[in-house]
Amino acid sequence: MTRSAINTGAGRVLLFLYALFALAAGARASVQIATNFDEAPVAYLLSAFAAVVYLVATVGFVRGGYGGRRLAMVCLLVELAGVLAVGTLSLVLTSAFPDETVWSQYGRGYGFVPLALPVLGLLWLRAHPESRDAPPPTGNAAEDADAAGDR
Amino acid sequence: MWTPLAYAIIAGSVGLGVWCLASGARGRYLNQPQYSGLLLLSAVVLVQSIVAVVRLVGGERPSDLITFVGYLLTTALLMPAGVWVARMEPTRWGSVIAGAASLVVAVLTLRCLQVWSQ
Repeated sequence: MTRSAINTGAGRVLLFLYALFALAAGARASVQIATNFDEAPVAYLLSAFAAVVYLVATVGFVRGGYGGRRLAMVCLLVELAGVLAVGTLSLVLTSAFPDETVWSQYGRGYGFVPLALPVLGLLWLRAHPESRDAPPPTGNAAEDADAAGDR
Repeated sequence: MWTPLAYAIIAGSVGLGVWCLASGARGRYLNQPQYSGLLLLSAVVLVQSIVAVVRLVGGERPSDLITFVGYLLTTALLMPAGVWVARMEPTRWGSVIAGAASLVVAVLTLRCLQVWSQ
């Protein structure tokens, strides 16, 4: 594993938090949709959508590499747009959101972590650009040092 | 749920969480007392979950049973999962993972308690 990997170091903290949020949002959405869907369909579907985004972002972080990084990047952007849009709408159009979603009021119900996560995630990905994704170690120390230094 | 134990878990996991995060902030990985504390916390949370299941089987029912079971399962699995991921990352970030997991255990235990008594 080279330093360029997005799934080690602070990246592993993000990975853990994303897995946790995928579970939290997914479980919440499942219970809400199964028990009282009619009460607030928009809010519950949004929770389910958020859960899927968190799950796919988690997969992106776990896989790492070029594809994983792209996948995580797309999810983070969707997530940031989602939390900003839903956060604002839930304040302006309170009637449209009779029940909380993960993203309501910028994720206040979850300690604003849903707002912080995509921002931290994008900063993290920015600090680890694609070109630094080195090929797997060849076992040749000189080549590996070269690959690690190739930014 | 056994309320005194729930409060003990909340206090313990907040303390342990802050301690682990402090180590992370100072650039250190978990030390042995912290690691033991995390394992102890996992065990105590498991005991609490067993108490809750026994009481559920015994006929006690929170009004929102599904939500309660969801929170209970998540709480029981979170700390072991946090320790597992922290062990894969033996750097300062491992301490941050363990600390975050520990703080979330406190929040989840509080939620469990709220749902249980509703």
